[in-house]
Amino acid sequence: MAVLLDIVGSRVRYAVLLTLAKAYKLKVPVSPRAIVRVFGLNIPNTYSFMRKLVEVGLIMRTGSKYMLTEKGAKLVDFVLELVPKLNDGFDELRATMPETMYYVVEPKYKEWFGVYKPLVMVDKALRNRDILVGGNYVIVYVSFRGKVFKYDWDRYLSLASVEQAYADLISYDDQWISYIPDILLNLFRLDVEEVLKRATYEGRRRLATALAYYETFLGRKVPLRTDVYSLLDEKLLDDMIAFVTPLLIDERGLRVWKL
Amino acid sequence: MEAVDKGCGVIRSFEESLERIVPKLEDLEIEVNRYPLNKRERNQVLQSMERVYYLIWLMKNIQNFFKEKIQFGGGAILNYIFLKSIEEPPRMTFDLDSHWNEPISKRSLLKEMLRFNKYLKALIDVRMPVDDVHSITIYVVEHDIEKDFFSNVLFLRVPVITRWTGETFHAFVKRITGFEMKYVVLTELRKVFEKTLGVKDAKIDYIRFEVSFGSPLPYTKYSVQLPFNLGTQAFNITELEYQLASKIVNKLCKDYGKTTAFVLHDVLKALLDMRLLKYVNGDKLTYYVKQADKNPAVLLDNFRRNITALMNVGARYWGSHHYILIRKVYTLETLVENTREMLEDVLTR
Repeated sequence: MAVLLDIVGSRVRYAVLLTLAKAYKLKVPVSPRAIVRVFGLNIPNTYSFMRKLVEVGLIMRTGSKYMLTEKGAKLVDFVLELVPKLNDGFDELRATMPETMYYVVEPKYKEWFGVYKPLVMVDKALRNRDILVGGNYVIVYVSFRGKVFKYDWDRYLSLASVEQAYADLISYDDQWISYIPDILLNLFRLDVEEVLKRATYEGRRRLATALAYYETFLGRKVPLRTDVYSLLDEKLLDDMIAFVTPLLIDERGLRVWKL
Repeated sequence: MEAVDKGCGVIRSFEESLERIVPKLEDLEIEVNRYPLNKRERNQVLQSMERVYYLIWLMKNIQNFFKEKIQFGGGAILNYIFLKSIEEPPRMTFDLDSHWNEPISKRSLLKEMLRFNKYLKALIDVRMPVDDVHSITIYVVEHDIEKDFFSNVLFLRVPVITRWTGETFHAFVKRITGFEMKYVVLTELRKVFEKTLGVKDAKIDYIRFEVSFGSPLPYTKYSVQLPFNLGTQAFNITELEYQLASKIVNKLCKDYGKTTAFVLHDVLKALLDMRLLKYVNGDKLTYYVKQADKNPAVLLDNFRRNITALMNVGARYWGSHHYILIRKVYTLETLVENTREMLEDVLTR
């Protein structure tokens, strides 16, 4: 599948060459720190490889970032031809987007059956560039400052961390309320504070309202740093109660509550 | 170091909120000193008074927030407001009954309670730290889901910090959140509790209240001087005559058939509340009893039968700690005799 990885023989070389090749097409430089972070690479090995590429004139430094030189540009077609194709609706991302400049947002704990449209978060530096056709996903341009995502070596895609994914879903997805039960029913394995921290103000208010309802309805407490009652948005309560209540109660409760 | 600093901030803010919200021992003692009690009895009543304080505090805030949407009734009102105002000793009751004055559903009521929680949170803001940075919010309303059996009553509760009754604070945190508090946090919290409450291992207890909804009930506005230095407050209270008529028809004088033995404690509670009979408008009371479409002679017969059964097992319930203050003034026989006379007067008009 990953012929490029087999040929170059190491994850460091694969990650650096793949990212720089795609970035060259978009005429944007890439930060080595971002490559290390997203691909989970060994820092000395990555910098050592990039130094070698600089020495042989394949890449050049622009500020704290790097991009391919004219000489290095000869590698682009070779690298991009070998990009993995999985035919899962994301091949467009694999072919065009530097892994440090996008990530896919998917719910990890689905408490429902159904088909959802994933979000693809794209660095706002690429806004108005018409790079992606989309269709299988919703494209959202945002600042990538502090975003937590990793390259998935099985799916060859950059994916949001669980908390980042839920923070984005409740902040940017039109169907944000569908993901609230996933969070409330998985409080034991989610860092909710992290979700709140990573969400937009609107997303924080949505989740805070849900948590306040969860505590009030079930008589439980969720230890948090965030004050959910201060963030509670009364305008959201009708929808929240209507949507979430049936998912939080058992059969005994339902008999009383559907009245 | 940073974590310790953050922790100190959370602890300090918790201590400040506790100083504002917990009842002062002197205020509780003033109420207890109204009754002639020996030392053992006095301690027990003092412990109960802490919960009574919160009950009245809660009632005051509910009324302030919901205004004309809600009215209060039941044992807490009759005993802590009306009987107290006529120098009659209260029976100790620890839950608050209220009625919603508008058509509503359970879910909409829960929405109202969330709005109320936001109000309470802004008013008192009690967040108990469970570690350096995380806290849980107490003194807010929650659904008492274990008690939720009726479709027209919403059972609710408010976790509050107490000196004597309830679950030790760290046991509460563990049960509710699964969170095991660290020793360093326990130590800090114990210091705060000792300073603000005078006990190291403070407890968390639930103040329970219920909101019924459905048919409208008649109510009157009363301005009440509250105990415990809680000020004066206007309350919507279900008409006293209606409340007593309801207790007569549905409790004291009801035909329970073969199930009488199971309801005798309720009969006793209704009997004790009948001390108010001589202070209410008899004609109005009779009107409400007649509205229930019950034959007065049958009601009186039921009363005699229920009271006979109660007196046979009376000591068992009458000896309960709930009635300690009333026992200082009355015997059960006196109460029965007084009630019989007043009931006969009301039911034979």
